[in-house]
Amino acid sequence: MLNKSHCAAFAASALLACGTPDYSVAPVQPNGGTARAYGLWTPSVRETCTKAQHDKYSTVGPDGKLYPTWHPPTEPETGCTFGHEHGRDPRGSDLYRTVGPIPLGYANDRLEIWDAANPRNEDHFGHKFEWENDVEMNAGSSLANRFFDIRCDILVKFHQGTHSKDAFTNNLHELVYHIRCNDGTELHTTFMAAVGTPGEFEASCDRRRIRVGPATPANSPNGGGVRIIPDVECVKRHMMVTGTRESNFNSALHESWETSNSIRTEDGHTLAHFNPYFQVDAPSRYFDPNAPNITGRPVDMCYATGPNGERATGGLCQVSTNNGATAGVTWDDPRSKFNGVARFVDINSNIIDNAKGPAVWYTDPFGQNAATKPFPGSIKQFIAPIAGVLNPEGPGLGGRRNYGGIGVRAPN
Amino acid sequence: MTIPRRLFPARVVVVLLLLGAAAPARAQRGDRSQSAPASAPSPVRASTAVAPRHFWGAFSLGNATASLACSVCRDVSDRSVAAGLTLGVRQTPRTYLAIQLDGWYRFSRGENDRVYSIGPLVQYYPVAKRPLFVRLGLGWASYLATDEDEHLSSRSVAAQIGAGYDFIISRSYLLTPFASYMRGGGGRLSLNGEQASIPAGVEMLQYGLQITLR
Repeated sequence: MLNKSHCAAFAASALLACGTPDYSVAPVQPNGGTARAYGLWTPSVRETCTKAQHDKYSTVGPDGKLYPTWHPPTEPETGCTFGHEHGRDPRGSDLYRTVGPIPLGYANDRLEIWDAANPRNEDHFGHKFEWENDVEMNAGSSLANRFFDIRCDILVKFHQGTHSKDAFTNNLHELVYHIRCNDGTELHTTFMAAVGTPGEFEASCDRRRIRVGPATPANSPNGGGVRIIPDVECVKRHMMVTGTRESNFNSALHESWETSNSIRTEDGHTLAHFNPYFQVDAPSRYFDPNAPNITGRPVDMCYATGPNGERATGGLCQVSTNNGATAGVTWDDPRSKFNGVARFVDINSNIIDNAKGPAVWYTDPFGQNAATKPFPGSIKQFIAPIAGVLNPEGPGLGGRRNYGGIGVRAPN
Repeated sequence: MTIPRRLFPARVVVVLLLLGAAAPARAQRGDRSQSAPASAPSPVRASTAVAPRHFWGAFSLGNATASLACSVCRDVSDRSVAAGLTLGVRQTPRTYLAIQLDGWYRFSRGENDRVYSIGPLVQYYPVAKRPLFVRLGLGWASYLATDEDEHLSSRSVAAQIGAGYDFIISRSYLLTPFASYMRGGGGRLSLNGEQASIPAGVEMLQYGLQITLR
């Protein structure tokens, strides 16, 4: 059970510093400061926990500041509700002993030091954890798979907010990626992942490119990968149906944030490349240029009737509103199952090209310009000193888990 | 055929050892009708002075289960045909030195696996007048695997231990059932020409028949 005590956080960091010989979390002396991400959450009338109960889930980051960290959707001691969840409890991960509590928003804070004029602040809700131990990986070819049994421990934290308009334009999202495999592949990285092109996304149902507007910050770099998000056309086409058909909520609403991440040196050499895809089945929003805040709410479509009598029926509308019969279920009502809880991560490939080492690098907040010494705003990264040949590819994680709990609702 | 590693080859070795310890006379009985080959161990031969050096050679054919051994390798082995060629000299009536070349080959559904090994060995008859011998060797072993698109290889130092039992079939020829175990490690592993940072070696359990010319 994590608590707010600085002494406890310091002791935990010291204990975890004993981890593996090659990677360990060095003990950090708290400096009394708090990160920008700390204390962002305030309970609404629907939540029964206090702010103090929530904020005690904290940890000291590598910079000595206090950061929020993972917490359950309800407080175990009292059962009070926080109204949101952060995915799988990371303390069950075999990597947790090595990496310790993960500070949420650390890369965002480092960006503010590295480029104070162009900060990127993310909300508290969107931080999501997923992990799995001893994952059987694909060794990359039928020949390699015949001979090799590659197993990895994987722990990831990604900021993926699916309740607001943020991701329609903003492509910078904090990613914490830990992986350790029995073939020597090992990465411990934290950075602001640039997912796709700033200012635009692709519609989930047909991959139309939708240009929305300027991103925040304005100088957001273009990333590999893409953000695939539903828009009103997808909702009308697949959710609003006639006759006896049932809505296809997956085709209408499924989001896929397909990242392509490279850790590169100052001279452009790629030390590591990995590309997890983060999927959400039932977000609480879609892009609608005509809606308030350009944000449409799927649950509202459960009550709507199209010009030709189209209705949204079955599935999530059945569960959330009894196909519209239960009035008054709003997008932020716990009864609405359009809440971003159903998620999974496709791990995909992991490539390391760092044979000459060292294992420890310092990069800018985007994972670029890796150097062997720290600099203002830099983030410490660990990349195993190998040149990977097997390049393990991972499966999807979390598809069978439901992280919803009592009181969990959008925004989540 | 891909099979999990079992105890069967170990039983073969145990049986050979028991045969050698319990019934040396049976092998000798077949010799009485003909003069024993100059290099066959015999009560008379063992009590004489060291014989002059003789060259000897052998060809073996049999079965072997082979696998690639490494920290991330799957625990499966494949059984297929194996053959070997041995050339050497007799150092003493009970000690034979040789260079041995061994090979194993498996082909299945477009997958082509081979093992090659070469190295010196010592063949020693621990008990005079007994045709049972033990064999120790140290050399190089390679595992090669290819399919339609890719190739994998491993090369390492490998040690061998084995045993056999000579049956005299003529003045110059012996028929020898044998079994041997080879294990390599710490060698280079490469996939499609790129070297992996995983040390590997070959593991092979072999049994068969050897024709020896002395």
